[in-house]
Amino acid sequence: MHDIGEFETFMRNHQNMVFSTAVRLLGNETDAADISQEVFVRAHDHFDDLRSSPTAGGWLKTVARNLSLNHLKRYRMRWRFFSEMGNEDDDRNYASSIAAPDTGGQPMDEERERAVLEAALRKLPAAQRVPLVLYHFEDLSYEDIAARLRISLSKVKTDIHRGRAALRRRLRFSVEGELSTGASAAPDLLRTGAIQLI
Amino acid sequence: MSAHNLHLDPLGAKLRALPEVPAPRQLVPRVLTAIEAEQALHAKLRALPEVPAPASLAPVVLAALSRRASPPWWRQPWFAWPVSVRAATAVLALAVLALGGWFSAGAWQGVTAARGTAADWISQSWLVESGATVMRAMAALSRSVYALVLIGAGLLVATVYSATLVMGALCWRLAATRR
Repeated sequence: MHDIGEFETFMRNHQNMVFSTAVRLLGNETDAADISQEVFVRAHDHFDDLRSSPTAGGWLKTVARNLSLNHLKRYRMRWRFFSEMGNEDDDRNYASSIAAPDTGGQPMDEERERAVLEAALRKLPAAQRVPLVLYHFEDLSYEDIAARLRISLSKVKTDIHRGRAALRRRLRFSVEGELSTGASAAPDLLRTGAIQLI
Repeated sequence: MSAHNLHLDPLGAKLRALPEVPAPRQLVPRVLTAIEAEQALHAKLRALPEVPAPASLAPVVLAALSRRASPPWWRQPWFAWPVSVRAATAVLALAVLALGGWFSAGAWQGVTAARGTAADWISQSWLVESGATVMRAMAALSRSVYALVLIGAGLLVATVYSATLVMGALCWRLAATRR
C-alpha cells in the first residue's frame, strides 16, 4: 500500500500538466477531468516505479495523451466520414463562436492574448484541434500524427494549416502600430496568404 | 556639402546634410514569411501556461483509490470473507454434494427416460412446427421465383436498411453540431 500522502503530493505536482494535455486535446473540461482521474488512478498502480523516476512527467503526459485520443477515437472512428463532411460548417460555426476581442484598436497585452489563444484553441473543431495540439504541444511529426489518428498525411497538413489560420484570425495583430498606407503590396500578399502578420 | 551651397543657403545645406532619421518600428509592420508566422504561432502556443486542474480532481482520485483499496467483503476472495459466512457456505456446499450423491443412484435411469420424453415434446412443439413450416414455404418460394428476383429483393432490403442507418447518422450529426 502506497503512502497516500506521498501520492497526493505527486498528484498535485503534476495535475495541471495532465489536465492541460487532456483539455487541449478534448476541448472540454468535463471530459478532461475524467481522463485526468483515470491517468492518476493508473499512476497509483505504477507508483512504485514513478515515485523516484525522472521520467514520471513524461509517463503521465503520454498516458494522458493516449487516453484522450482513445476517448476521441470511440466517436471519431464511427463518424469519421461525417466529421470530414462537416469541415466547412465547422469553420463557419467556429468563426461565429468566438467573439473578436475588443481592444479598441490597440494591440493586446500578453495575458489577454494568451486567454484569447487558449479559448480559440479549445473552440477549434476536433479535426483541426487534435492534430494541431499533437504537433505544437506533443512534438509529434506529421507522420506520427497521421499514424496515430489513422488519417492521411495530406489531411494532417491540411487540418493543421486550417487550425493555424483559424487561430491567427482570432488573434489581433501583435504588430506594433498600424499598417502603412504606402505598403501597397502587403494587403495583396496578406489576402493570398503568402505572408501573414502575427 | 559643397562650398557653393554653403555660401548661398548655409542653413538649408546643413539641414539637407543631416542623416535620415530611422522611422520608428510602430509605423512599419514587420511582414513575416509563412515559416516565420508558423514559428511565431508555435512560440505563442508553447508559451501558454498550464490550465489549472479543477480543485475537485485530487479528492475524487483519492476517493476512487480508497474505494479500490477496500471493497465490500462479498467482492473479495472467499478466503477473505468473514469466518461465519465461510462456514455457512462450506456447509451449504457439502449439503449440495451429499444430495447429489444420494440422488445419483437412480439419476441415470431418470435421465435416460427424461431424454426420450423431451425429444417427443420438442418435435411436437408448436414453435418448432411453425419454424419448419416457414422453412418449407421459403424453399417452395425459391423454387418458383426467379433467382434474380430474390437477389433484387434482398438488395432492396439491404439498401433500405443502409439508408435508414445513414439518415439516422446524418440526423445525429446535425443535432450534435454546436451552434
